[in-house]
Amino acid sequence: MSEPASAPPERTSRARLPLRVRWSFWRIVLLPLQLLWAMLLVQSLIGSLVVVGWTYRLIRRSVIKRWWAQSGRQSGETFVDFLSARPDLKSHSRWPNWIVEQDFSSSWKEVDDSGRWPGGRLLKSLFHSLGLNLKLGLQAVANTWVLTLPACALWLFGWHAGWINSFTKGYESASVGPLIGWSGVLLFIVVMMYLPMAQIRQAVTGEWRTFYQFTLISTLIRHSPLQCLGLALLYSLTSFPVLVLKTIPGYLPQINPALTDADPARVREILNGYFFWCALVVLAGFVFLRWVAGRIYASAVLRARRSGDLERSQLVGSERRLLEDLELIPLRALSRGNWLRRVVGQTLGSVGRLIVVGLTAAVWFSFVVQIFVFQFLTYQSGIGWLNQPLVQAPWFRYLPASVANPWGPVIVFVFLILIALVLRAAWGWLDRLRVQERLSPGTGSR
Amino acid sequence: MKASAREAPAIPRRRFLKRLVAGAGAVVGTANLGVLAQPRQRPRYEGPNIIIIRFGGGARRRESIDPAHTFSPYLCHDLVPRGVLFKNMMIDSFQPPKGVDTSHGQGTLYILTGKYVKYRDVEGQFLGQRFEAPVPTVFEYLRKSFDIPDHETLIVNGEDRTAEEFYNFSNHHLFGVNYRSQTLSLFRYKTYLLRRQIDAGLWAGAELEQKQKELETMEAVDYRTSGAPDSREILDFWGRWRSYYGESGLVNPRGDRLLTELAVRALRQLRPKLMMVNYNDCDYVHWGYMSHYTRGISIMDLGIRQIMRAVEADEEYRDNTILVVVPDCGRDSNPFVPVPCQHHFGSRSAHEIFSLLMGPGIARGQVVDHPVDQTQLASTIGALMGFEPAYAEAAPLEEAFL
Repeated sequence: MSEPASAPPERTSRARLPLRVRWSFWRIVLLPLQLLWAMLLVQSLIGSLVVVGWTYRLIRRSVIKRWWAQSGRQSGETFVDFLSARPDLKSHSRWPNWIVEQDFSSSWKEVDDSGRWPGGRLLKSLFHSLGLNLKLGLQAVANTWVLTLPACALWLFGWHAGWINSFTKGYESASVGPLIGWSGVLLFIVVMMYLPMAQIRQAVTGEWRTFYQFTLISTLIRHSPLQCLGLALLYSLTSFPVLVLKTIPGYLPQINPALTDADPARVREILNGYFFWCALVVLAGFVFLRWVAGRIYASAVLRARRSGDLERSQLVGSERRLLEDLELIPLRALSRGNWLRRVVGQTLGSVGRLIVVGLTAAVWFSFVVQIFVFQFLTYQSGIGWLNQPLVQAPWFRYLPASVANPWGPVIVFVFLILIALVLRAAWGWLDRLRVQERLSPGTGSR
Repeated sequence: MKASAREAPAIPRRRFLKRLVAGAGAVVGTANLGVLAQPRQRPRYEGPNIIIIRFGGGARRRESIDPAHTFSPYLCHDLVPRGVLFKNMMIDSFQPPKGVDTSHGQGTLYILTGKYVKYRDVEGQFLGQRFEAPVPTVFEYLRKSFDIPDHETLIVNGEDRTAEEFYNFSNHHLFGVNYRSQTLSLFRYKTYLLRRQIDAGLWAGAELEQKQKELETMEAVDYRTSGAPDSREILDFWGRWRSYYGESGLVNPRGDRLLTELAVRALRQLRPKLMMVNYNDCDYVHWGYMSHYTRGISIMDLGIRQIMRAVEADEEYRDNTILVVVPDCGRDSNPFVPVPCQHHFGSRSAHEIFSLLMGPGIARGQVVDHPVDQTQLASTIGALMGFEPAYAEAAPLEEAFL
């Protein structure tokens, strides 16, 4: 594994051009296929988790590249060169794979070198990225759900309680529904002030626990208030076309009156095709928002370090090593940013910050308002409230109950997670058994 | 068929002709006097009473008159065999269609005026439902034709759609406010109560000023009547309501059950000749719960049963009351969404309604399959009560008459 790092530099430079050309060619060929694959994945809850995991890996690469660019090394080496020299980062030299291991070709080489067929290793390589994407996606969405689901559930229950009460004219408890709903709205706004940066932190470190580094993440947010406002605005703007797409099926019979009498099979066929192509927009929005958040995060970390608000010890090992390698830690002279940032930075006092925070909250409120308005236009019961494709899982498929059980994918998801947990426990038990046998051989025969 | 809906029936029934001639004479006699003129002596009304049930807001045939899927068993199993069911009534089946809206306020006015008009909110408010009919309502035709006091022509309205309280007269220069019907609703009761409380000196100082402003605002909503006081009968009605249900608003029935209660009490106390009950609660389905729709239909069904019991228990109304059940609009049957019941976008299903007519002079146990129009009801009511709705655009439902 250390061979590539110790390879002579001339070999790297000679191989650079052909590799790039080859990579560009394959990228052109594979990109549409990858896109179609991703569009297919977001048609199911589990598939959308794979997309989330893949996106997190992509964002990690993007943040590393951003830091590398900030370090001023472009003149001396390419990004790929930089990564190739570091075994722990080498896998990021290309965009993340969907299914096979990142350097899948080396697995084949290992087969050739050993002369034997390492079936287990190959099998693992074949599905390594798929498993990794799923694992990271599951961790990512689970963390996101921890913070967002309570608010979304409050929307659901607030809407339910409010309209049930309105229907029965329960004047005496008229405030219950709106109070629940508003609590959810406020909670969601507070969560969303934090969430995008926390998601990126988790993506960059690859550790789910870092999602909950409240002090560190708050520091980063404090160091990029305008950027966070801009990100909220992007979320709100991106949300609009996504919600329009979610609502359009309700108007298909108006667009084409012949569809009014479509039977369930035809409805399913039409909606399958419709939501498949909608995924193009949803995916673009989902990845784009995280890419922007990644850039904000990358800059915020450096700004926070420069100001001394972010201690070296607060960073996780891999992140610290990377920043040290790039000589971004300890403090080094960095660009002070453009004139606008400097002026804004100087003039923003505590009142200014409060205004920006207020504006950011207002923009997140506009995001929530859209959800409520579009729920009125075409109501999607539980899923419509509990999963926002741009925030949580990019699962974008709303079939009416007459066509498919809307909770079916959730049930399948829970079932598969349970199976995975049982298998993992069984594997662990077998492992322990094997270790015990190794430590005390022959115990079993006695 | 579309053309025949607009033409007069080829062979009108004897009763229809008799009443039509009597009513037309009265209308012609007073038509040129205008709203400011003192009405001439009008004949006493001796025809049948009519109760129009607006089966709304917005109900599909499937959950109403389809025996396999109905949530309205009394209507479907008890009343339909006793009357004529127009199971293929449409909103705007004209060819080419007029392109009118399928909604509650609009549908109510199509029923009352017999004319499809593209209505716009008078204040231009988005989704506003404050419409003013340009042609007379059946209440105006009736009161101009016969000597009927306003409290005997009633709209019973719900608490959610205040704008629909004011469909009780048109802007037509030959009819209008002098021939209006009265409205019974919680809004009217609140206005009555607030005035009484102010008159009783319940408040003083700033609080009194605030209450007076509140009252002004409430009374100004009915701006076309220029603050004309309610008749003694209406005031007595609310007085009795107040002594029975109190002032809190927490004792009386709520939602569409309130409309039933108002209608039943009105039958006993105001003795209406023509009354329209604007049920509306099934429209809650807009917010995403199908059960609100089906439950709303069941509550209406119970309401109709209560009203019919009140009618049958009253000697004056029994055998002399015609029931007209008609939705203000249909609802979508959209297979692409979980709750397929909007109605604002002109889908075919939102145009598809039905109507049941039942009572003296109406055929029994008949089901009419061919398409008829919602606007034909105004002419039909005119024919049954003996007035000519001169500005209605469609002919009566001929099959209804014996």
